[in-house]
This record gives sequence, C-alpha cells and structure tokens, in this order.
Amino acid sequence: MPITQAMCTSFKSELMQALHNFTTSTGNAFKIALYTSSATLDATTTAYSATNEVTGSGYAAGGNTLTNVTPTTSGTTAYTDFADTTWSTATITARGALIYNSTNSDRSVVVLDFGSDKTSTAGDFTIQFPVADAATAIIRIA
Amino acid sequence: MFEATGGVGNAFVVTTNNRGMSSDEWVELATNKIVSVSDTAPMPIREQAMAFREQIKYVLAFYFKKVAKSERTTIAAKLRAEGLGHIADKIEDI
Repeated sequence: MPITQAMCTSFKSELMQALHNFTTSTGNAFKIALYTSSATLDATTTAYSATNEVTGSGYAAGGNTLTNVTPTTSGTTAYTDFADTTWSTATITARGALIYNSTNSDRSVVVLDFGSDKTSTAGDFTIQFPVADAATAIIRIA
Repeated sequence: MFEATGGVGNAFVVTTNNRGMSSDEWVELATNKIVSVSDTAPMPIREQAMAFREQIKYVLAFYFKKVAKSERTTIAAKLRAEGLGHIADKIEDI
C-alpha cells in the first residue's frame, strides 16, 4: 500500500537526540502536508517531500502549520496532540498526510492514512485529531 | 532492557462541497473532543457517558447556531453600511 500509517522510524531515533519539541508556543513548528494516493509514505519516510503532494485551490505546498499541545502523561504512556486543522474553500483530494517538523529540516514525525480518498470541492477539508489520551492520542509513547 | 512502543492515533477527516462546515458538523467534532467512552467500558458507564454526550451536543448546537447567526448579522450590518443592502439580505437569508 502506498500510504501506510506509521510513526516514522527516523523520528524515534531523533527523539533520543532531542531533535523534536512539541511544547505549546515555545516548541518547534510542526506542519501537516496532504498527499494523493500515488504517494509512498510509511515508517521509512524521513522528511517532507513535495512529490505526490496534493495540489488544488485552497492548498499551499507544505500544508498547514499545526498548533502544538504540550505533551503529557497518563500512567506509563506519554502523548501529545494538535489542534484540529482546516483548509477552507479548498478543492482537493487526499489519501493521507505527513506530520513533520518544519523548524528542524522538515524531519518526518508520523504518516496518517485516511483509509480512502477524501475530497472537498470549494469547501472545508478538516482533519480532527483523536481524543488526547493514553489509548488514542495522535502520537503516543508507551 | 527498557522497551518503548510508539503509537499513532487515527485522524478523522470531514469534507464539504460548495460550502463551509455547518454548525451541526462542528458540534459533532467538538463533542468528539469533549466526551469519549471506550468500547470496553461497562454498559452503565457507557450509557451515562452517551447521555452526557447528547446533553453536550444539545448545548453546543444551540450556541454554535447563535454564533453563526450573530456572524451573519455582523457581516450584514457592515454590508448595509457600505450600501450593499441587497447582498446583506441574501446573507441573512442563509
């Protein structure tokens, strides 16, 4: 499958090198880019690339900047979250997305697979991140 | 050896055609964030959570619609001030 949801392996290594900071306001800037079903994204993805990125009105290359939520813990699991993001008046079709660190050389974080093509036509394209808890948060380390 | 496991949650995508998201669609997303209950929770807890979720949805829907209406009123007022009353009427009719 061209887009496989995963935490990028390079991200795991980079966490140990303190290359990512998800703290609200003072952390790194993270972005989310949308991709077509022609893209190949998986755990081996190491950085943002414009290849097979979505194009269309209402969408700028590189995607949207996310609003960080300072990481927290529950039990033995650490997790972080982002505020939901919307492309308005957008005519686009996307099959998945890449969250990446635009402060730090566009290093990849996680790949999201939407499960099918999602299309907006002169409308809103909204991504809602899951409930931020130890079982469902968008990025978790247990 | 200490071992950590990474997990990635499932994002939810909502799209619209030829319009923005309605207040009801925003209510659904907001409620998802406020109230969630595990599929494995005991039935009495699930029922309580679902009842609370419906209450939250009702309150949010009421106020989100008020917000949307107020926004249209403000926009219409500004358009009328610019002599664009016919456009203002159309916006208030939405």
